Amino acid sequence: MRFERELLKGVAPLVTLEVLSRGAMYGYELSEAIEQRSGKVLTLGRGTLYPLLYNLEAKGLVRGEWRKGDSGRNRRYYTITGLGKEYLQTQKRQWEQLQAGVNLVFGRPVAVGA
Amino acid sequence: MRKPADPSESLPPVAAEYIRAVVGKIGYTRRVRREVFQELVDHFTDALRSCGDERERAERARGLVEEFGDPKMLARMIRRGKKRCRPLWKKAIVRFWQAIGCTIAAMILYVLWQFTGQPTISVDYLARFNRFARPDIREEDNAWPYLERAMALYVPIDPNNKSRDGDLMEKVSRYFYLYTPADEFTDGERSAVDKWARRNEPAWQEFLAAGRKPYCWHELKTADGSTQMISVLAPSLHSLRQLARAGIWRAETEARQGKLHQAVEDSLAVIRVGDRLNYAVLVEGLVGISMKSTGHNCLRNLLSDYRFSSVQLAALQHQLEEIGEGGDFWMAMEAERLGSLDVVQRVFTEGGLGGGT
Repeated sequence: MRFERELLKGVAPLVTLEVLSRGAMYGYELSEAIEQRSGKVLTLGRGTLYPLLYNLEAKGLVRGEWRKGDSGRNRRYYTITGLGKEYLQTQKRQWEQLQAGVNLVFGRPVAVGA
Repeated sequence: MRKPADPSESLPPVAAEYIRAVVGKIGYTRRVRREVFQELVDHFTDALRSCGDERERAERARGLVEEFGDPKMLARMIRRGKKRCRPLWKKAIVRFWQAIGCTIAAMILYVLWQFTGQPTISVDYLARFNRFARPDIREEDNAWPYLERAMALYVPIDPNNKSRDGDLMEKVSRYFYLYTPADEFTDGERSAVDKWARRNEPAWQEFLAAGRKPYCWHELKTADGSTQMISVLAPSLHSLRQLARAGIWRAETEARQGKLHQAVEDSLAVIRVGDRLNYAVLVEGLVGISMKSTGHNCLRNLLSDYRFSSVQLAALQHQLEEIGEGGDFWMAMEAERLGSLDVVQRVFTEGGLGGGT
């Protein structure tokens, strides 16, 4: 399903940080992980992936470093930083509040704890 | 030295070309371009790993290239992100050099503007000077045409040997101004100077005629007909000064020959012409003062070395009073003043200083 670009714009950094919070990954691995964990709902555009990672790196939310992977090849792995974790928590809270508000408008039950 | 293996060689050509296109357009440091290149190659390699044959790899690679999008746009976004990653100190250095570059560019533009700007010439200072300096006289009372002819007819001591000419004129000048003894000249040199004084007889006659005129005025002109005062052609005053020295040499020679009256007349002629050159142009005024000084020195020498009757002395006194009637040793610098104003109006464009007041 193709989503409106503007709708996904704010979501991309959030889901990227969330996935990275579970472990360091390289670019391709990250894009596959987002697709898998979202049940193929969210697909990070290839043209967006690396610019997004570099921007997050510039903001100090992730850190990129070259490491030897399992296959023995040198790859650039991205890890979430402490600042990134704080930012993620803040964004998740806001997202949950937003979700609750939208659900109310749609007449849907609000999740417990929202 | 072996070239390092290109990691994109294992990819289908469409993918390798795309990656090179993106990295080529990033336009950033070599290290960053190398890293981005490697990351993109890794991404494509991972994405194509599950493909079976070459056809499938090429197909999948084309799909990926489409998903990545326009290489120029991607390169721009990558570059933007990477630039934001720069540490603050690096950003400060980059901004510093950018500021220097901008300053240099601004200075170059400013200099170009200065050189290409055209000033507004609102006042013709040359015409103003000529109007100011022109006396209300008849042209036949003007000494300048005679002086012009005298300058044109002037012959140097040795026209074929500038160096000898210069040496002899320096001796003549020392003789007159520093009162060096006459025996400093060798016989040959004295003979050459005598011949020089005689050869300049035509010029001297014009000089004498100029001295008999009450005024001396000439219009300042430029070589190219422009109104720029700095381009005004200066007359050859050097030859006038040399003619004055020739006149004094003649006077001293005539005095030795007993022709005292002629000697006095020649000295007075030099004084008169010098007096006429008291003009509103500084350099001409200075030459005039120099000539008057030479003439007066000669007169004093004649008076001290020879006997004059009381009648001759009375006549000389009367002639000197006539010459000095208009005041002595005055200088006007109107030409210089207007010349400076003209330079100012030609330096600044309209609205700036020197608007031609």
